Amino acid sequence: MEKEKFIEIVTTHQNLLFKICNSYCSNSDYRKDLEQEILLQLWNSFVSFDGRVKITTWIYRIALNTAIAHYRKDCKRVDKPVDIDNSVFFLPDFEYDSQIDEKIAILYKLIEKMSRLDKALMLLYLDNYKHKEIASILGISESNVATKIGRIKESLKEQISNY
Amino acid sequence: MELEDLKQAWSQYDKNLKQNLKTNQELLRNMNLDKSKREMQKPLIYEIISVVILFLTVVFFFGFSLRFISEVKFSIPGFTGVLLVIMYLTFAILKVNRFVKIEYYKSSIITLQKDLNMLKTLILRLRKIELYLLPLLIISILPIAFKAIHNIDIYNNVKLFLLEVVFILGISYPVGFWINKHLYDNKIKDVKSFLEEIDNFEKEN
Repeated sequence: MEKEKFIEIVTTHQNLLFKICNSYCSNSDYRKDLEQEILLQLWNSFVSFDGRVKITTWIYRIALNTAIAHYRKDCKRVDKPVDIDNSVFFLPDFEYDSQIDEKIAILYKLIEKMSRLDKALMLLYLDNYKHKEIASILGISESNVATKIGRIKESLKEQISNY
Repeated sequence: MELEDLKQAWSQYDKNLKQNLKTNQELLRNMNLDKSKREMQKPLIYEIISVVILFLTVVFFFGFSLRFISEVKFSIPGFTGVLLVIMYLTFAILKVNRFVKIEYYKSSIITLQKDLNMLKTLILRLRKIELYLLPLLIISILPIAFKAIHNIDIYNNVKLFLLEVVFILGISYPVGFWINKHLYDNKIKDVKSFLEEIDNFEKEN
């Protein structure tokens, strides 16, 4: 019963988990490791989730913490390989806007170049989280969030001009 | 292209993901999540078992050292060994204490990453010390262990005993030094560098 409820939550918020995994690991094989690790951590913390924070905030906090802890620049496995062959999340082929596709590819490239902590900030910013919420998830002050977002924007502006 | 364009595209991308992304529920259902939970707790379980074993070792060797207290050739190395095991025991308790204090699922990202990396630094630093203490521990408990378990006086053949001591020290210290330099020091460097990254991220500048 608990597991079914968990699966339902994961399915509802699969988009969020998919974006985090893609942002922290561009290699599809190693991404499966990260995907599984995040799911395990979510499952472990599921019993202690008391609903005091929004479910998306809880997912973000656990998933980002796991991604940061397991982050390697070359996306190499930290521990032993996982025992699954397929990804839990998959994106079937569908009609898509090629212009948006191109922009998303650029965004992922820009995110890939960021430090693991800036990646977390960027993902929360892109998902329209308020500064207060970002500050609470990351554990820094609101003014610091604003400063960092401003700096990231400046840096991105420069990099975007190259595309 | 502006950042706002990209942000809008991201929002559209998110909507598309919500509509089209699939979750392999069968795979998720078949994942042995509970077994994996035990796997994840392995480091803590390992340290707890270490505490128990080390405590029993202290009791065992302290008892035998007391029994042979009048024979200083056994009791002095015996008590030295006990002191070294107490050091190992203290290290293990320190690690367990740090492990259990970490709030894995309630802390903010910065707090948890800091705690995890400080725990890693502690473990690595203690491992370095443990590696250097190990040969001393082996040498100090050998006489009392042989006497207590097999009733053999290891000093009967002084030459052989000294040869063993020289062999253990001669091999273990260069190897320990090499391991510390090439494995633990590098790992500590990486952890420290990430801790610096976290500190800089926390700073408002």
